[in-house]
Amino acid sequence: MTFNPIPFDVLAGLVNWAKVVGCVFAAVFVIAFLLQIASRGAQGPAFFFRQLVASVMDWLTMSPRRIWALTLLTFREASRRKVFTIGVIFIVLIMFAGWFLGDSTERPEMQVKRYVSFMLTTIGWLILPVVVILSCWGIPEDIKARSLHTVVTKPVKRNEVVLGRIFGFNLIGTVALLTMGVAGYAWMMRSLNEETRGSLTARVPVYGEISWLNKQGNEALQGDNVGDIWTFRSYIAGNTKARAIWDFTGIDEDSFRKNPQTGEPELHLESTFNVFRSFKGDLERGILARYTFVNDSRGLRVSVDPFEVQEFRAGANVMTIPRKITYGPDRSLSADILDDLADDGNLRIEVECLTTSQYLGAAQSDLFIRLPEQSFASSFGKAIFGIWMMMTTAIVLSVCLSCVVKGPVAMLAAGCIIVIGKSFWGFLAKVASGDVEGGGVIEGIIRIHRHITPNVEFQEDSRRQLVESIDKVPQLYVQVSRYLIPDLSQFNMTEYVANGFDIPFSAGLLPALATMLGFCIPWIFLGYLALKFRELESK
Amino acid sequence: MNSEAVIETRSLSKVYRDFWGRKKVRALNSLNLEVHRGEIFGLLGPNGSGKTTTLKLLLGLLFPTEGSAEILGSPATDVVKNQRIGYLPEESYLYRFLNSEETLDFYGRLFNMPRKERKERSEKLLELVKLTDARKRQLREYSKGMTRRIGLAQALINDPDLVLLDEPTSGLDPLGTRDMKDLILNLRDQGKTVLMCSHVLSDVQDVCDRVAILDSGELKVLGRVEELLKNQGVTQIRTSTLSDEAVAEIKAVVAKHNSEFLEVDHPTTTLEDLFLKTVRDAADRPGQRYIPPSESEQGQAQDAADEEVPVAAGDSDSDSE
Ligand SMILES: Nc1ncnc2c1ncn2[C@@H]1O[C@H](COP(=O)(O)OP(=O)(O)OP(=O)(O)O)[C@@H](O)[C@H]1O
Ligand SMILES: [Mg+2]
Repeated sequence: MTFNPIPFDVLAGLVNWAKVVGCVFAAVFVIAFLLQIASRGAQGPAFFFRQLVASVMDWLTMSPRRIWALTLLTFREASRRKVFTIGVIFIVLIMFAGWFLGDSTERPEMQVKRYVSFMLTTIGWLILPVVVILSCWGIPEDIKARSLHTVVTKPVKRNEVVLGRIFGFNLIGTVALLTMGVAGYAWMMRSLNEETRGSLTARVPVYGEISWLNKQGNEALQGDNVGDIWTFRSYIAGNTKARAIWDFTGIDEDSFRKNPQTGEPELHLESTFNVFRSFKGDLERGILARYTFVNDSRGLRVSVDPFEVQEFRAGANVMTIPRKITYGPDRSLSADILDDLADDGNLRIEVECLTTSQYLGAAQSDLFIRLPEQSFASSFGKAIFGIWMMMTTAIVLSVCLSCVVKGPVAMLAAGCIIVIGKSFWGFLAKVASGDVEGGGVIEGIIRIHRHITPNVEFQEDSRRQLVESIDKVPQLYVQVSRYLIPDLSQFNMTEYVANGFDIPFSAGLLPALATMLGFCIPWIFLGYLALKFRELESK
Repeated sequence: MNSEAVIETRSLSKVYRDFWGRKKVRALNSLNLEVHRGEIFGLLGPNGSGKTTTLKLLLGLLFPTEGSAEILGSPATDVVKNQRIGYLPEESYLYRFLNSEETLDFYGRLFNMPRKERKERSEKLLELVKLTDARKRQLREYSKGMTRRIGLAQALINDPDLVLLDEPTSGLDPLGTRDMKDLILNLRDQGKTVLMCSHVLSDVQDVCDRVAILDSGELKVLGRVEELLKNQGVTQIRTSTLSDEAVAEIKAVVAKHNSEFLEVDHPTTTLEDLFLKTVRDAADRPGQRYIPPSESEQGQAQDAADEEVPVAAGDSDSDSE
C-alpha cells in the first residue's frame, strides 16, 4: 500500500474556498461594473445594480418543473441520438479483456487487483469523453439551431437552462454508469473462480497519527533513513530506544471484532512493515517486532508477545489481541484495552524492533486497526460513486464552458483542464510551491544552456536575484491556476478497492465531495452569468 | 378598442457587430413604434429591412444598441413578460427529435403548467392546427407547412395576450393561409394583440388594423390600413349606365353643386402599390419618411384629381389609372 489517507479538514477547506471564490467573483463584478460604466456612462451603475438584483431574483424564483422539462429534453435528445451505444463498446471491451486478464495461477489478491483496476479504469475512461463531448456541444448546438431562442422566449430563466442541461447530461451519465457498474460487477463475479472471489473484500482500517523516537529515546521528526531514495517509509533500529508510535483516536466498542470461536471481542492489528537488513542474518527467520500499549496518564505500559516481520512473505501481518490482555510475570496482571489502556478513546501503540542491528521500516499507513469487514459490493459501489462525482465535475465544467464559447473550443478547454486535473495536478502543485528541481523557466533555460545540473546552486549575486524574480511571474500564474483546476485524482478510489480496502469517508469520499461541490457551485454561477448577458442571436 | 400601448419602442436601434466589435450592419435605426391593446399590427418591408430584428429586440433575444423597448409594461429583457407572450419564429426553431405531442408538452412545462392543463391545451391546439393525425411523428419528418403549424401551436400554448408572428403564412397552403388569417382575426376578437411580419401583402391587407413599413431599418410608413390606402386625391362616382350627355351634364353640375351625386366613394389602391411606391421612394430619399398624401399633399392633390374623375359603368368598381 502506498497511499496515505489523510482525513479532510472541512473547516480549513471551506475558509480557503471562500477566499478563492470571493476573489474570483469580486474580480468578475468589478470588471462588469467598469464595463457598464464604460459603455453606458452615468447610467452604468444603475443598470449594473438592476441586473444584479435581477440575477439574484432568477435564483430565488427557479421552477423545478421547468428544470425537469429541460432535463428530460436533454436526456431524450441524447438517447435519440443513440449515445447509449457506448454500452456496446463496454461489452466488447470486457469480453476481450477476459482473454488478457485471466491468469488463475496468480495469487488471488493480485488477480483481484488486476480485475478491479481494469474495471474501474475502463468505466472511468469510457464515461468521461462521452459526457464531456455531449455537454460541450449541447448548448452551442442549441444556440446554433436557434432552438434555444424559442425556449428563452418562454418564461425560462437562464439558470434553469444551465441547470436543466447539467442535470440532463448527468442523468444520461448516471444511467450509463450504473449499467456499466452493475454489468462490470456481475462480469467480475463470473470470471473469477471461487477461491479468488474470497479475496474480494473491503477491509475497514482505522489509521493513527505517527510520531517517532530516535535511538536515544528523544522525539524525532522521522526515523532513520537507510539510504533509500524513496522516502515513503523511515526506519527504526533494532534493540535501541527507537520507536514508531501510533496514536489512534475514537476507539470504542465498535473498534473490536468478535472472535469467530469464542465470541470474545478482540483488536485486530494489521501491519505492512518493511525490513532493512544491515547484514544478511538468517533469511528464513524474520525480524522481531513488538507492540506496546501506552497510557501515560495512568502510567501503564503493556507489551504483547513479539511477532516476526518477514519481508518475503506477501500480504499483511495480522495480529489479534483480546480486549482483556493478561501480562507481566505469570500473566498475573490484566488490562482492558478500552477501559484501562485507552484514554478517552485515544489509544497509543509503540512499535519497536527487537532484532539487534536490523531495521524495521514504517509509514503512517503501515499499521492500522481493522474493523469488521464491509462487503466488497459496497466499496465497489463507493468507487463508482467516486467516478460519478468526477463525471459530474466534468459535466458542470463542460456545460459552463459551453455557455461562453462554442463547442470545439469548449471541448478543447475542458479536455485540457481534465487532463491536467487528472494527471498533472501534483506536478502543478509542485511548480506552484517552487519545489520543482532546477528552478523556474528562465533558470531552467540557463541551466540547460550552460549544462548545470539542478543540484548545483547558482552563485548568489544580483543576476541570480533578477532571474529568480522574473521566474516568480509564471510561478504566480501557476499558483493562481492551481486554484481554478480541480484535483481530479481525488475522485479515483480504485487503489482502495483494488487492494481490498473499504473507502473511508473522511479521507476518501469527503474530500472528493468537497472538490466536486467546491468547483461546481462557482462554475454554475459563472456559466449562468455568461449565458444571461450573452446576446443569443448574434453569432 | 382602447389605446393602451402593449408594445412601445423608443428610438430603438440595432447595429450588428462582429466578434471584434466592428460594425457590420445597421439593421434598425431609431424606431418609434406603439402597438395598442387589441389590434392587429403588421410590420412590412423588403428582405433585410429589420423586421425580424425588431421582433427579436422586443423579445430580448437581442440587446438594443440604443434606445429601449417596453413590452406589456416591462423591459424587453425581462423574462417575466414571456408568461403572456406567444412567439412564432421566422423558421420554426423547434427540437426536431420530439414529436408534436412531446413538443407541446415540453413548452407547456416551461410555462409551469400542471399535467392536466398541458394535456387539455395540447389536445385543443393539435386540433386547431390540424395535426392530430401526425401527433406521434417526429418533427424532423414534417413538411414545411406542418412545421409551421406546430410552430403556431407552440406559440399559443400559454393562451398569450400578445402574439408575435414572424411571417405566419410562409409555407402554408392556401387553405392553411385562410385558416391562419381566420385564426389571427379570431385572436383579435378574443381581445388579444397581434404583431405580425409578412411579405404577403394581401394577407396583411386582409387582417391588419395598422401597418408599418420598414426599409433599411427605417420606419417609412405608419398608419391605419384603410387610411393609408385611401386615395384622397381621387373621387369615384358610381352610377347606373349613363349617356355621354349625362356625363357632360354631371360634369357641369359638379362645377356648380355637389349634392346630386348618386354615390360618392373613395376608391383604394392596393397595398401592393403602396408598398412598391414606398420602397422605390426610399431609394430616392434615403433617411426620410414617406408621408402619405392624406397628410401633406391633400390640397394640391385635390386640384389635380378633378381633371380625371373616373366614371364607372354598372356595379363594377374601377381602379384609378
Ligand atoms: N445575426 C446577424 N448578424 C449580422 N447581421 C444580421 C444578423 N441578423 C440579421 N442581420 C442583418 O440585419 C438586417 C436585418 O435583418 P432582418 O432579419 O431583421 O430582416 P427581415 O426584415 O426580417 O428580412 P426578411 O424579410 O428576409 O426576413 C439584414 O441586413 C441582415 O443581414
Ligand atoms: Mg425576417
